[in-house]
Amino acid sequence: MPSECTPDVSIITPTHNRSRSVRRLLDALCVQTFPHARFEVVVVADGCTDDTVAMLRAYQAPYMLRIVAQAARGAAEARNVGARNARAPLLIFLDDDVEPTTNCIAAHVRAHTEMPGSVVFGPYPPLPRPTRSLFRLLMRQWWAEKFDHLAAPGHRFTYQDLLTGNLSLRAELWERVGGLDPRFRKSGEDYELGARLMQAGVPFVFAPDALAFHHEHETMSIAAALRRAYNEGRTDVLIGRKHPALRPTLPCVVWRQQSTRRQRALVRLLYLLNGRGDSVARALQHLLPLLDHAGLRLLWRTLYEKLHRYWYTRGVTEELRSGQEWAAYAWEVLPEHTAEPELTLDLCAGIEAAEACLDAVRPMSVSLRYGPHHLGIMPGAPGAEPWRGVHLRPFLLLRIGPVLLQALALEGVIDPGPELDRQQFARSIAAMSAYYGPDGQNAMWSEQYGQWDRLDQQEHYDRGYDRYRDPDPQPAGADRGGDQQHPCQRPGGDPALCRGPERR
Amino acid sequence: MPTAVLDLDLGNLPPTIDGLARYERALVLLRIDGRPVGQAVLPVINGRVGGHNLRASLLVAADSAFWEAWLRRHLGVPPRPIAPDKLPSASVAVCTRDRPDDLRRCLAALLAMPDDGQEIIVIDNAPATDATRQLVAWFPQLRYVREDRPGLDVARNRALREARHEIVAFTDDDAAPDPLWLRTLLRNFHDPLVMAATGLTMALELETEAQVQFQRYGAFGRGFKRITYDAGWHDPLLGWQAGAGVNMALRRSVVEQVGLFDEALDAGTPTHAGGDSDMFRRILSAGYRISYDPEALNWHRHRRTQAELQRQLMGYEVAGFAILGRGLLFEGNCDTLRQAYSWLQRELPGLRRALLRQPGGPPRETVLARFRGAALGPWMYLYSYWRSRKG
Repeated sequence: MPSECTPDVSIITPTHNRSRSVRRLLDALCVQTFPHARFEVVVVADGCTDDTVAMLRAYQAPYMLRIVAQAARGAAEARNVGARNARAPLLIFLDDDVEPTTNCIAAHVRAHTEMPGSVVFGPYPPLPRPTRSLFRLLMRQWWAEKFDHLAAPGHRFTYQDLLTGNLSLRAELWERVGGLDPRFRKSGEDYELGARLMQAGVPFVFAPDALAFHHEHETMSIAAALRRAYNEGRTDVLIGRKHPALRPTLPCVVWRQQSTRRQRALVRLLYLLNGRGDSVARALQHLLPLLDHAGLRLLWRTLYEKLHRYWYTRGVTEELRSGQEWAAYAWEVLPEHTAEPELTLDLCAGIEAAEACLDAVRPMSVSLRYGPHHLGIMPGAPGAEPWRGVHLRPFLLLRIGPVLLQALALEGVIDPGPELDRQQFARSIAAMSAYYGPDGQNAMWSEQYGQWDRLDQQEHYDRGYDRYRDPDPQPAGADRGGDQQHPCQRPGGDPALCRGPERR
Repeated sequence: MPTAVLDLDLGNLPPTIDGLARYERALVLLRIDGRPVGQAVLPVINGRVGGHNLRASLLVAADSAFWEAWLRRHLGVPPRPIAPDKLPSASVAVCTRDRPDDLRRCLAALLAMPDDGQEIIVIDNAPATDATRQLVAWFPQLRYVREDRPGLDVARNRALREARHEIVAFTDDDAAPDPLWLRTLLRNFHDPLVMAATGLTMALELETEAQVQFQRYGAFGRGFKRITYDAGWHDPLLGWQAGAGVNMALRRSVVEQVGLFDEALDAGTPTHAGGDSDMFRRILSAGYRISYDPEALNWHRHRRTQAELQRQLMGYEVAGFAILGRGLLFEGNCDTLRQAYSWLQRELPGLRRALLRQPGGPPRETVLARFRGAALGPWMYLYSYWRSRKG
């Protein structure tokens, strides 16, 4: 029997004509580990013309289920309405095509207990299903990479990490930032909220246990994805107008700043066509399933990306009505931000000390050193959280690994012994740095071929050296005898990089 | 020239390494805290690897994967754990045909692995003698199964049918696994979309020139970095990059979800190879994933003579083009033509260099063997397919 007391958690779901999906969500909420008496569910039926409202009214739930039916005003406004109707101090937003696992609610609550005053999001990857469709594989890959990125230790959150599909924050925080902006009706409302939360200094927390599965194969199709690209084009411009400091992160601005003359000419053509090219784009869209069926992956990918770019650009041209306006928007002089890094860290003092310093100062950009060696800069980025201690080690490992290794080599940390010439050692590390990092296989094969080839070269030089020194040359591989010192055994000589004797 | 094969842990280097007098080079597998992380190729000078300071020379010659692992350890970022209590149950299958000496080494290594309740099955494929059966009879904990129809894929399918556990791990009879091989492969199956896991295969010995060439120009090398293959970003026709049949583990449910191994392919059939790469291709096409885990290590004895090597390299190209032919003719996959074209783009410069006898690149015989194989590939598949339907 649902309790009459104020619940601890309100789960808010906006929905539009997806009664089966909502039913599945409600069923999943029936089997949560979090007690039913302590949460309520607010479903906002936004302009539903199917049997959603009837289904909701007839649904027998062990928890408090409240229904708000309204005329269609868009998902952002529906969430605002849901939040206004919620009574609990903690709000959890779940999309209607998301199916939470049994521990989802409990994990959100736990995360808020551990990090009060933060915004918590949980992963909602696509339901793991095998698929042959290139489009589905592409979507699956996009979502998997997004959540892997968020789950990576030491991930630096940006405003673009915020997704409203599986999100929780305290009601008073929601009110303080003002909820979602209903002007962003079709897309972008989540990024825009992320921008405001980031500005307010709210910590972002990723809770991997708050897992839900996204039935995106039911809701996303090629046509929907391309429509979404058009909407994103429009809302990106609106985000840039509302938050000018974020413009450098928007694709429309980056593209414009890096565009070639030919690309700008194509955009001018697009403005001239004024939407008449849309029917061609829609026709080309129908080619995609045929290419998929024929197994022509590269062609499919190329066509899809071109169509995506076309629709995104069309969205931008709806808001920026000419090429000049777009250029002005992209190149507008932005508020000054300091070019100098706010903090300089010397890692000689130890990693823990550096982490403690970062946690204390929370700088936007940091210059890193190791003793006399400059390592690099942890850069400032608009819309990203300030640097924290937990970001340091992954940054060192993944972004500036080779530079740090060279510094450690030169300072004798890697090999403190006297035999190794540190300069040459550092040079050999610099040589391998081209392959450093989680790169694909082609780099690996080049590196391995290079290892064998270097040895061939060295032996070639050695044989040349022997001929030079010894007027009666021995065949390669013969025992050289102990007293004839190999050139690479000179103190400080580096066997793998031995270039042979200096020619006078 | 013969190359020594060494397995060294940087934190635990021996003071001296004996028996290197007849080698001029060494291929060293580098470990950190017992985990394989990278490789180095060094000269052997006067019986000493890299000159008079082993550690210094190893550090100078180490590859990028080693340095990433070294830095990870230095910064205290922990590596992925191997969790024995959460692993699925496994059957290990060794498909063998008249190679009792190699098989003995393989079985000894398998039995040296920690016992997590795995079963080990030996599939004796169309044997000419009783030697394998007698060898297996010595070990009561092994299961012996005889499959009279010749073909490596026939034997693998038999293993899939005979296995009792959820995961079936395969190794070749001329390979010997590391003690933690099975556990490391099994840790990759927590993701329900992963249908196969593969590992790294190093050379057991590099005594002859043929073995060195095989190791040098590709072999089973897939690198030291962990990669999960998904058709979302990786072309299934390049599925062979995900691993090799000498070191792989599949879910037994692959039979229902993807299908059995193609019995017209691989050793013992006119196509010589390709059963594993075809399976990887089909796994990726069906929307599943393959997890390549370089810490799942085993050691393979490469073919010793040049004749065997040429036949093997030719066999790989036969198999590659057999799979492309099958894709085009049986599955209507037009991308196979693009793959064939890219292959030509890559290989024609080598052929030109070989025909004009210019230096650099793989030896002449290898290049010509590859082209012969490529030309034969699709025809061999059709012939083999016809034979397997008839038989």
